[in-house]
Amino acid sequence: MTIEEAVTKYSPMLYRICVVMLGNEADAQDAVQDTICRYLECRKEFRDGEHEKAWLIKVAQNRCRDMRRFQMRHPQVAIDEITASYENPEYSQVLAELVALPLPVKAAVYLHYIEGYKTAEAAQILGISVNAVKKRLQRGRKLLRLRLEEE
Amino acid sequence: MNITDLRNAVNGIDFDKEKQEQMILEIRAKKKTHRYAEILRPAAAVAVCIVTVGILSVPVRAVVNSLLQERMESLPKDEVARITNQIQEQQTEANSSSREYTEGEKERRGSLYAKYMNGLFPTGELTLVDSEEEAKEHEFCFLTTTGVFYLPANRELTDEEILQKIDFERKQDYALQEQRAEEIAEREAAEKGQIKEVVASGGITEEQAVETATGYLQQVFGLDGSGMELNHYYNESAVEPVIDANTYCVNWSDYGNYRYYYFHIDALDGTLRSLSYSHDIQEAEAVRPAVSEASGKIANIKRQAQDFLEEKLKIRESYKEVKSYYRVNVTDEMVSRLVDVLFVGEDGASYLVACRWNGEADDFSVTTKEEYEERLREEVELSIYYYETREEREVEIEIVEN
Repeated sequence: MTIEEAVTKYSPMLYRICVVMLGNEADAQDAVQDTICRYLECRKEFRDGEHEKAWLIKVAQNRCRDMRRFQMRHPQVAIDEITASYENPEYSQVLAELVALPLPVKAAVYLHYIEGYKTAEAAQILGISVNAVKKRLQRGRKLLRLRLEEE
Repeated sequence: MNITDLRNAVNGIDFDKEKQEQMILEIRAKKKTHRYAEILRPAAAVAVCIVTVGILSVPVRAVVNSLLQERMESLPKDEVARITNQIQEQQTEANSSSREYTEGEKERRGSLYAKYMNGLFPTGELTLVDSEEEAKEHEFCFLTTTGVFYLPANRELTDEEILQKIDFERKQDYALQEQRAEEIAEREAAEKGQIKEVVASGGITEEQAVETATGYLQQVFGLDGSGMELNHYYNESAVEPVIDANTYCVNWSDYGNYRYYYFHIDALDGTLRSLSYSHDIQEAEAVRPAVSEASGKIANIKRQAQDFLEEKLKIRESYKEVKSYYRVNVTDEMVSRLVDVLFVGEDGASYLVACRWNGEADDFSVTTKEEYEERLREEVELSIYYYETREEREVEIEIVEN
């Protein structure tokens, strides 16, 4: 796959994850770029498209986790710039609440509720147990006051 | 809120076409910078990123001693898979060490690497650990999660330990190469076809290119390649950078001493298109002057560059002009580690010799003044990008010409 193809296909999805994980545009772009570079350089064989996507999400999550540890440039959440163009202003608040979640909880919430992964699949991507995923989802729902049905 | 609110909020995060195009440029620049960094201006000084080289460039089948080849090929498949997984899981791009080598260790490593390449192998295996707590229990080990070699704090490495480290790094390289075996085989098959066409239209063979390069290795550096790893491959016309197109790349890697010798031989007429010598950048850094001292060094550098052309490369011609170029930050900071000296012929064809500030030549290439000056402007942009992203500061770079 060429650089153009990889960026066109995956950057929008990865960018959304990284913005939520990191809370600002600049760091998110760095994380996406690093992820795509790793993808292009590793040239891993994937079983199918879903396997490929899950691998990319895992690498992006790891990158975001490392960046959060050393995050110095943009300590403030800069969601306003991203949500300035939202038609529904309530969504700005929703996104801000999601971004404000603790990182481990945020990752589980994102994979399960946004990307639609089952808890077992999310557990595999995150490298934790299914029970751990369920606990993080429970905490996330509480913090977000989500009105949801259980899986 | 409900799930739909959550999804709509996230789906509103837009990564538009403009941002995607910018990212494509930046990834290309990162890859180009890395490529140049490997061949022309090495970025890593102390810990040679052998694994990084394996990842960033498309590997070739190295020409190595049969004992070494046999050792690598006898690795069980699950061991190779384990090593590959470890590299991919590693949270850093390349291996590093807990401290710098001492001078004594550097010297021993150089000679031990040459012996390793000729079949001197360690008797034991490097200890691998997967937590920092475990690393503290060993004087010498490798932490797999971070890719760090923990070296003894209070003594030098023994010869056996140095050999174990070298052996481990070679196995990592081999595992990466095997991972891409199919890709390498496909690429080699395609290359064979391209070389056949080149030879049919009057060009030289890969063997002839290796012979020519071997001659230059002796003539310019006084070396015969023993104890070093030899690689060679064909660069087709679509390769980047363009100066490498339609050449054979023949290179020697002296891993023990962190020195790399690259030659690009024109595939059609067998002439030397470029050569470069990569080494510990600290040597080049040590002689980099202050901006105020720089202009006083130029005359000597130009003289030594001309000596290099005439005595090492046997190129004796007359030139329309001889110009030097280096880059500075407008805040009076020297940016260039090397000075480029361009010898411009009457017909516009030019020779470029890049010298360290003490006059020693590192790179040579055949170019034109227009091509070089365009590449220089691109390098200035890449430098600005580097400072902004890696060092997080804005710079304004000027080219000083003499």
